[in-house]
Amino acid sequence: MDVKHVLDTLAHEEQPSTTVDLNRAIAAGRATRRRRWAVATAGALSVCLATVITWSGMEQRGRDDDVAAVVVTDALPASGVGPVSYAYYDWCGQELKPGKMRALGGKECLQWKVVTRTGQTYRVPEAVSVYVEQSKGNYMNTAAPLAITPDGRRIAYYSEKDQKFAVRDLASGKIWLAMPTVTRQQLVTRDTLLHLSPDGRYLAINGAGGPMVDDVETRRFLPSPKAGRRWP
Amino acid sequence: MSHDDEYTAYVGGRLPWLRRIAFLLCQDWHRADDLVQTAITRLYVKWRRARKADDLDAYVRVILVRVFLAEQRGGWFSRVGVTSAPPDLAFQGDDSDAAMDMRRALASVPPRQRATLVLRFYCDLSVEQAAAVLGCSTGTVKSQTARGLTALRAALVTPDPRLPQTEEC
Repeated sequence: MDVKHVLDTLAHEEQPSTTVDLNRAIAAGRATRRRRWAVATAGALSVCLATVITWSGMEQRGRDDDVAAVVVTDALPASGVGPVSYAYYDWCGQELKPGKMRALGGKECLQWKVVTRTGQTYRVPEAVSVYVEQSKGNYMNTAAPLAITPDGRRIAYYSEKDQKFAVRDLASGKIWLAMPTVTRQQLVTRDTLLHLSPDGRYLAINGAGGPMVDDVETRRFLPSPKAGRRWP
Repeated sequence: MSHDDEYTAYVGGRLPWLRRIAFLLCQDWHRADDLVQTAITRLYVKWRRARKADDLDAYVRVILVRVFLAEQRGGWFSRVGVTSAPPDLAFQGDDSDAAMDMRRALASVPPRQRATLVLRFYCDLSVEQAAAVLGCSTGTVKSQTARGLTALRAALVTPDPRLPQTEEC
């Protein structure tokens, strides 16, 4: 039997009354259009919102960069400085490019900055900060350490002039040097951590020149604390 | 004439043709109506583009066939509807037994092959046109056509096993 004949025969059966409703199709079609329009509008609004948020974030970041790039001209006075709350350094407002920062060597903006609890910011010229000579492979060891006692009255840092770690009382200006001699090259090679006891008398060194605990006021070593032990 | 008026005029005039194609695809007038309803709703959504098409009938036929194939891929529950309407009208032609055989034979052909047969032998589309409607290659259309024809012919010559068999003496 011919296929076309089969199909034509079936197609020409008498059609029963239809339930197809044009008005229903139009109403459903309009609803679909409205839904798609709503989805498209919501998508467009989401994109706009995401753009605005991203732009605001970038603008905020730009402002943060501006703050970080503020030039600090005042060097830390020899004495009479109040307690500090925190310290920071940056790359003179530039982005860190390990192995490519040598051009910044010697610039004041690269030095450690301490911020007093009254909001005054000083740079610390005698404290080594960023290692501009650092290699790309050792990029995690970015800068020499600086520690602050909990009361903010003493700071510890590395003095390249003395080739030792130094603890400085900010109010009196008195400086104590730790016992071990450490070269800058040792610090650049080996990541080093400093920690001050609450009264600033003991300096713990881990890394170059350590591990050890130094009583800087009496210039003697203390036995290294056992794991889990607290300060003397 | 507004877009809605154009749409109403076109669909109103082509409704019997659409129902016939849908019926050949699914062998059920109620389900054919559901297919047509869905297809013309989609047509309304796309009407601004569809009215500019070179061949509007071909455009609608593509929608209808794809609605049918998409529904086939869905679950059984999406194809079956409970209705209070009476069964289809009795066949009004010359040979109701032959018509029932034809329906049964066409229903036994798998849906995609059935759609290929309808497009090729009822709508008189070429292999390339059928491939464009079905969204497949011409080779697939040829193989589906061959398998569909084989299945249809086999069903036409094989008696329905549900019917009582006459014993030969």
